[in-house]
Amino acid sequence: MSAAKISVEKLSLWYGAAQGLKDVSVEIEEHTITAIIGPSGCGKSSFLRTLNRMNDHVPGARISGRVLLDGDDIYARGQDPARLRKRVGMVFQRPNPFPMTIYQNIAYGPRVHGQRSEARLREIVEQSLRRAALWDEVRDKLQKSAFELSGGQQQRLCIARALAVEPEVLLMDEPASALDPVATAKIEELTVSLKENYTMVVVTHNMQQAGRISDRTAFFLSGELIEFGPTRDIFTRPQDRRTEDYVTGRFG
Amino acid sequence: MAFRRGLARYRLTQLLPILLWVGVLGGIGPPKGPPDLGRLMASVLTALTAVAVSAALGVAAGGALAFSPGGWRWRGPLSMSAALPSVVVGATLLRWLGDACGLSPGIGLVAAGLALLCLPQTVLLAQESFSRCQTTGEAAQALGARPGQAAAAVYGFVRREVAGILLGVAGRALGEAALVVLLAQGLLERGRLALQAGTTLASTLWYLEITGRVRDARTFWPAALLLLLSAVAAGVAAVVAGARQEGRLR
Repeated sequence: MSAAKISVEKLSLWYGAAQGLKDVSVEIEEHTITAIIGPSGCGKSSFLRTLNRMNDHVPGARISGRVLLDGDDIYARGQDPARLRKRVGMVFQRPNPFPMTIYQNIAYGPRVHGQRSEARLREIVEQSLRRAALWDEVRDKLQKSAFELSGGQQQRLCIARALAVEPEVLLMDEPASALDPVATAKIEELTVSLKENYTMVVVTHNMQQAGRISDRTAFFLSGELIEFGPTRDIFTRPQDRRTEDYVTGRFG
Repeated sequence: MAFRRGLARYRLTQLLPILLWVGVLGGIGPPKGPPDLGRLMASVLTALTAVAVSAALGVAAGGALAFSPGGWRWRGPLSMSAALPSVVVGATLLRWLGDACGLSPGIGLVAAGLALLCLPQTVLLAQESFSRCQTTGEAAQALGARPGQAAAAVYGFVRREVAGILLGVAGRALGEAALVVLLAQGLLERGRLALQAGTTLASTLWYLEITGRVRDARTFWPAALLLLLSAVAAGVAAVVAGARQEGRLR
């Protein structure tokens, strides 16, 4: 069993008066893929965004409880969200390349974090694109606009962009939901290949996808964590009736 | 789903201007009496001013809505309702402008119509564009960029999106102004049908261009080409009208 990379302790989240998460406690192990499943509005994405404090940008959002990254509370006074997000990267549902060249998209993060050497930036760009399995497709058009890539390529570019700042954890919010099956397969393959070096948390609506790529699965319902355990157990021997109903397609 | 809803709304707002155009122009018809180059130029300037004002109002309203508290989510219905007062104010101002320039009520009305037609779409498009700017800013912050650094990434988007909207609006204005001028100068005396067809074409091109522009930055140059073609059309219309006024063309 690996060590816990992220420990979430009695985490609750409110948007104004509405409660988005209720007393969630979970431990995410290092170098694993954790899938977050559940029906729409159950708090999957809200939970994901608490792990790198992206909810800080939402007006009226507040939390109670603790989120520990390697034992340090990321919400403790004095913690810098920008530095946290360097360690905990994020890939969004829709590909969102910057209005820049492919090269500049990847180099953006390292530059923001102070990397000025063009030679080093070139290395980072190539390395990140290789890790994201995109290098062979774009090596001759690094100076072209990122918008010239297909949707699937754009999403892999966004993954490469996230990897370029060398995060320890990668959060993915339905990364393949806007893509066709071929592009989805590439993203899944890539996600599994990244597990060796990163701790991954993936929100997905697609239960087959969760079954294919994840080691552990968390099932959320109405802001509550209903069940969390090895993916095989969640899909074959769920302990909670609500989990069983969801994974067997009785609701959601 | 949000995208489909947005697209449906664009189509609706696209249909409305065409119907309004038909109504406005059908009600006015070509003016009686000899053509007048001064009136021609004033009508073109008024039409362009109308569109510039409506575009500016639209971009401002769209931006304000997109950046308003809680504006992270799609707020189409709100932007439409917010656009209406701006439309009324803009149209009234432009009507006054037309009167002040000594234009016939018909031309003033056409100018007001131009503003009326462009504004709601511009609001929606600007809001969509600014929402994309927010998404980009959020992506930058997710990489560890501080707000000021994220703004640098977003700036490119703002510049491109606003430029795209203004290009599209200007292209449409010039193209439609050319058609209005042709009608106003009596050069298309039997051409009301042609005018309507032309307007529909221009509107459709504008629609395709702008919605494409918002979704995909690759259509930037086609927008510029559309603008150029529209400018050429407006220029030809002005030259033809001038020649006709001087009796060199019947």
